[in-house]
Amino acid sequence: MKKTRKKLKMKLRMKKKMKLKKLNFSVLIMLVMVLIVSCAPKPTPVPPAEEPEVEAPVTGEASVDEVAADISDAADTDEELDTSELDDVDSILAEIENI
Amino acid sequence: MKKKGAIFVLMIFLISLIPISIAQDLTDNQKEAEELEKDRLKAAEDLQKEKLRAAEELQKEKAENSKEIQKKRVTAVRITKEDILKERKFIDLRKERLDRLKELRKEELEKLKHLEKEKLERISKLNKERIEKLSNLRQKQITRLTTVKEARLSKMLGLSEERLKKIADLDARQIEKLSNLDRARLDEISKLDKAKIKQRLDKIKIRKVDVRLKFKKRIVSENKKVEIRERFERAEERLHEAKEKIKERRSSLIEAKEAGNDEAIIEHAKKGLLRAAEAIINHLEKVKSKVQESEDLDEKETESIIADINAKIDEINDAKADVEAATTKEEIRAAAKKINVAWKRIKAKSKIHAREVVNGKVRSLVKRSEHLEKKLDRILAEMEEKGIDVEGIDEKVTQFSDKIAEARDKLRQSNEKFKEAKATGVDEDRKTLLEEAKALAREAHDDLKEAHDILKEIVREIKASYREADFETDDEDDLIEIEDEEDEEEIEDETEDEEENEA
Repeated sequence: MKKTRKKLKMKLRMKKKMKLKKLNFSVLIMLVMVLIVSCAPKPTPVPPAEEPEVEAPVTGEASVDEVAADISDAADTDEELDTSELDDVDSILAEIENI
Repeated sequence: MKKKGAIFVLMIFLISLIPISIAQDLTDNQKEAEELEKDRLKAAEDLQKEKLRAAEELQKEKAENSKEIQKKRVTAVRITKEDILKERKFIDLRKERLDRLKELRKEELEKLKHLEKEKLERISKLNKERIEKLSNLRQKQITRLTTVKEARLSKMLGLSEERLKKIADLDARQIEKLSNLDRARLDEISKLDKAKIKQRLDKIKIRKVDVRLKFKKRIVSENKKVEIRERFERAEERLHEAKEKIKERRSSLIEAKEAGNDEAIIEHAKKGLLRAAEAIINHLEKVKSKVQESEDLDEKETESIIADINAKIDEINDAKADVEAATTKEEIRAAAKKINVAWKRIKAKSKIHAREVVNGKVRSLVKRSEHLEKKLDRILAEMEEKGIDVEGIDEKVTQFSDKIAEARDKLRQSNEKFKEAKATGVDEDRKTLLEEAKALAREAHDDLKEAHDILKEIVREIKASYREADFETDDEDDLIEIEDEEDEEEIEDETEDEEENEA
């Protein structure tokens, strides 16, 4: 009788030990999962598509909008007639004078 | 003994009665006195009540009297106002306009009743605040100010009372001139003292604009413009090609130089020179196209610039012939020198012509913006007449006017630098002055851009509350051009004088 009791006690103790081991194991797995998730490369945020340059709003009044259009045209004319576009001419002329 | 005893008792009884009778006597006296006092008090009370009643009655009577007097007075004022408002020129006004005038005090109305019907009508279109401001002036001042049209009158009434009084003392011609100015100039001039206002106004000319030209110096037909633009694009394309080839030839030339290959040097130098000449000619063609297309230069200016550009093109073409004929290094060097010298002169001239085109454009833009301000004044006056109020719109128009004034000032400075550049004989000075003129013109251009951003906002706000606003039609008043002769030096003097005055 005593022997069987002892055996039963042993069995119970073993079972408890096993349970604890299982618990530790599952905690460990969860920790690993957390680490994996946190270490995973974060998706790089997609840069927002460049918004097309919004044209200056027009008023719908021809006399006002025409002046506005001519104002931007004046700036273009200044650039179009700039002599800096002929800098290459200066350099080749200098080169040829020294042949 | 019994008797004696009885008498004794009776005596005691009688003696005991004495104090009672005395006491009775005393209480009677007291009662009498009390009654007397009561009577006196009652009499006094009655008297006071009587007095109070009398006073109340008197007060009532007085109040009634004063009410009656006031009533009589009010009736008298109403009668007088009514009398004024019964006059033909008042009756002829539209109801809503008359209603505005009805709100005025008798004294204010009296100042207006002498005005002609036309002037009265002008005033009746103004808002209450402006009518009151005007009616605070003397009768003569009102008569003088109301000679100008309502839109201009309303603009002038936006000035402070102090300035308004100063202006109202000017003669009709000066008031008319002043009323035609934009808000920025009006503000600037109205700050000055009377003598200076007159001096300043003498330098300003108001000119009617040619309806056909509308701030342009000449008209270029649409067909011609298309043709010129095509020519411009072709020249630009050829210039681009020439530049590409110049780069190629230059590197080939450097290689040939390094290799000591004279034949290759001559070939690449010749072709390089020809490409350089082509680039110069095409750049000049571009400037020529812009001059031909410009409506901001008059015929004379255009002809003179084009003749000069053509002469420069011929000069380069001659040099090109020399290059083609050259067979030796020396001849090529000589041709290169010739082109280089010509190019240096041409470059300076090209910059001058480009500045003429661009500054002409900016000048025209300033004029057209001033014209838009005039339209705004007209529309604001219409809105005022209709009782449409847009909060802060007047301030925004003033901001717009100020920005145009800044652009005008920068353009004037740019033109001065440009004049100096044309006059100087020193190349380096000319280059610096032209750069300065260009920078100032760019600043003027930026001011114009800012002004038009404000204008767009103004137009949107106006259209939101006054759909019928007409920006396209030109009123007789809109087509006016201001010619201001004042130069910078004089402005500086005036500012100094002003500062002295203020001190």
